[in-house]
Amino acid sequence: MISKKNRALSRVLKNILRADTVRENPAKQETQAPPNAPAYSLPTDIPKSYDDTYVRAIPKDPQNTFVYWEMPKEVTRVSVFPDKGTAHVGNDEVVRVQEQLRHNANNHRQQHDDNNNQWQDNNNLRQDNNNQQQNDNRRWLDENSHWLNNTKFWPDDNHSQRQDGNRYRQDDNHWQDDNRHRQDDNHWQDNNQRQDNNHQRQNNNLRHDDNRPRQTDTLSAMLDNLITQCGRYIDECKGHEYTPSPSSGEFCKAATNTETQP
Amino acid sequence: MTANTTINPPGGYLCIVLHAHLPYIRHPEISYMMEENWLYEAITETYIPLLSYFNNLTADGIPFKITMSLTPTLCSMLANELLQERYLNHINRLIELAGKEVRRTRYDAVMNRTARMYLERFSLCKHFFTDRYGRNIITGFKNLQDAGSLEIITCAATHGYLPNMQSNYNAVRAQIEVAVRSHDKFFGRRPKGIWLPECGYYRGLETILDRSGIKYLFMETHGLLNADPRPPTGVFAPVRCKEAPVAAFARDIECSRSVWSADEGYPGDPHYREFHKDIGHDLDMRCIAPYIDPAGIRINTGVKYHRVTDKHKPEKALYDREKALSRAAVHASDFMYKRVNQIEEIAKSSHKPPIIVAPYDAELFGHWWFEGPEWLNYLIRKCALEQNTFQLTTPSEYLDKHPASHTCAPAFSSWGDGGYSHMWLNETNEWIYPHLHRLEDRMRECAKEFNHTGDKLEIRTLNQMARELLLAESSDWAFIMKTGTTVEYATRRVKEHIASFIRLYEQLKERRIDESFVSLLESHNDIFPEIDFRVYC
Repeated sequence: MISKKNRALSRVLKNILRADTVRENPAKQETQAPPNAPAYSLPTDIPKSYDDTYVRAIPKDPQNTFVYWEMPKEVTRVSVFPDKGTAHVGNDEVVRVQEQLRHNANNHRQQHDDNNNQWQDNNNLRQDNNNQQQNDNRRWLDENSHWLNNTKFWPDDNHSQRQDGNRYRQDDNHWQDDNRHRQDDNHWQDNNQRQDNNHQRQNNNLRHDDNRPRQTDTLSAMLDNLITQCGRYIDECKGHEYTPSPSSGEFCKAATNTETQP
Repeated sequence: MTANTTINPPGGYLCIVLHAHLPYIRHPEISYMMEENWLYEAITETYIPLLSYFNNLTADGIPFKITMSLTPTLCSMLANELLQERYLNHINRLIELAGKEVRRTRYDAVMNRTARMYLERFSLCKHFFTDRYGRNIITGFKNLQDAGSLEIITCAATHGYLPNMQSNYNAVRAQIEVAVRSHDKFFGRRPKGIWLPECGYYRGLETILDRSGIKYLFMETHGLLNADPRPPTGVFAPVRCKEAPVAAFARDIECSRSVWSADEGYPGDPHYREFHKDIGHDLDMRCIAPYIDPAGIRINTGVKYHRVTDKHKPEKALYDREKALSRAAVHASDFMYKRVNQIEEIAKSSHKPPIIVAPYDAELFGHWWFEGPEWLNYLIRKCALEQNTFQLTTPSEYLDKHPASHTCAPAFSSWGDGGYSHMWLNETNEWIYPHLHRLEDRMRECAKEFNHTGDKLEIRTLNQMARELLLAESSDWAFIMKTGTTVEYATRRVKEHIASFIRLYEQLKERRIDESFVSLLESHNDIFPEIDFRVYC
């Protein structure tokens, strides 16, 4: 009799407990996805291009600035550089631009070079500041499928030093040699004046031939704005060098390896 | 010996900063998502053990001051009911697994001791989680804050790496202001300080921080050493940023090295628990299957029986908890005496007591370095009882006594590999930024255009756009892409947020908002429920 009672009580208790479990965990059912529910139901299609003109620069470190440039499709349909014809349309749109600008105000020159080897070597936005022999400043832009990838900006033209890594050039002569960017140290340190300087540089050095499409003028103006951004950043880093000692290198690595993600 | 509550005057100060952060990961649409485990592991191994030790210190009358940054994403997850429920399921499974392990290892005394330790820890975690904090462990941190032992600071809203956003003032401003409001909601007060995501600082950032009422920030060592002009006190005193009255503290390299360094750091001691040898990978599949990924993918369970032994050899000896704890005590002493010597040396040439800033990822303690919470516990007790040279302090307390006297412009810097932005801007993740910049511009454009709208659906849409943008900006995705850990997930998350934003943007501009889509996003990405899109104006 007692045993029967116990069994009955046990059944009742089990039912109560089971019911309590369900009541206790109202969100439990929420944690169970329907058996055939898709793992994701949100869109993931992102545009390849936004079809407008856009240039941005992000300081990356004292040697490099990441730069990208996008232009509308209609611009790429125009033969931007008719003399060497480097505008291609279609799925593999590639526009290559090289502007070679002379410092000599009386003899501005622009060239649109389609030298493939040169492009392969220079998938960058780069400034050659102290190349006095040619007295040229060169800018390269390479757009691949609308995005400008791996773009770098170097404030100096010393390749060996650049390849050495985390060294920032502090050579004053280098700065004094930079006719376009830096005509006067004191002048450069003043933000407003520096912008004036850049503005002047735009007028003086980025003069375009009459037969060039207007888009390129816009582009040049944007590039100048871009260089201004870079200049601000260079100004900030000027005179400083970051040379991690072996120990600081170690802890940086350790920090990297033990960030919050398992 | 009594605790040194009244060192008068102290020779210097030690400021320990723990940065607790996890990206916002919550998937209501599926029952299991491996990446959600990051939160559960951190709760079990880091947050609850730290809270437990802090409470014990308070109960024992040991004075301590710790600074902790609890990011808005982390707080949002800790306060989320779905994740709380899932954590409870997780810890229940762990208790069950540990119980099985106690039985399985019954013939091996050493392993059995360790298995019992896990069973006890997991059970305690459950007790703390459910009974003490009512499933919301933010309560525990808030109580310590209110007691004056913990200074809780904020971070950017979704841990966006700010130097990569600097071209859009409003985007940075939104990251800061949303974070401040979120902090206010969780902790009942606006934060005095901020942990900059990845210590990423760029010149002028302080103006935005100042606008949100932030009084101080932390930065990497060379951010201050390369400041213009270089402060004469180096990193041993805060400086006042040039463009706004915000104090900048920089981390001390010696403190970092003691803990972070792979070779010299304490966590590499042979007696400490080995992180990479887990029964989730070692046990027979028939035993471990219920406790790993339902798809059969082996994962870490948190149950580990081995110690570091020799870092360069794969053979590992069994873990002995007692020996490990005695090493933690030794290392705590070592750390303390090094700081004593360091402060005495610095104080000779300093006109005011120096402050040494020792910041660490909170998840290092307990998750990566299993004995980390115990080390911290020993350190705090020893600092209070075994020396009279320095005191633990918080930045606010230090600034009250010793306001920043030097004004300078700190330099661009981060604590990532190389000291700058390479970790978050390289060939693996640079594709993100052209999208993010467009989204930031569009968000601002829409915020201005619809600033005065009274349409509820439009407001919901704009608020969700802000959430999607903030979530896409999280530095964690770029970091994962670079480290190559869970790249597919990170890529998917970024694309989801970008695509969702764009769809909302198009619907808003074309005045044909799909309410069901807005609702879907609101249920998926429900962070910052009180967000106001006008923060982008």
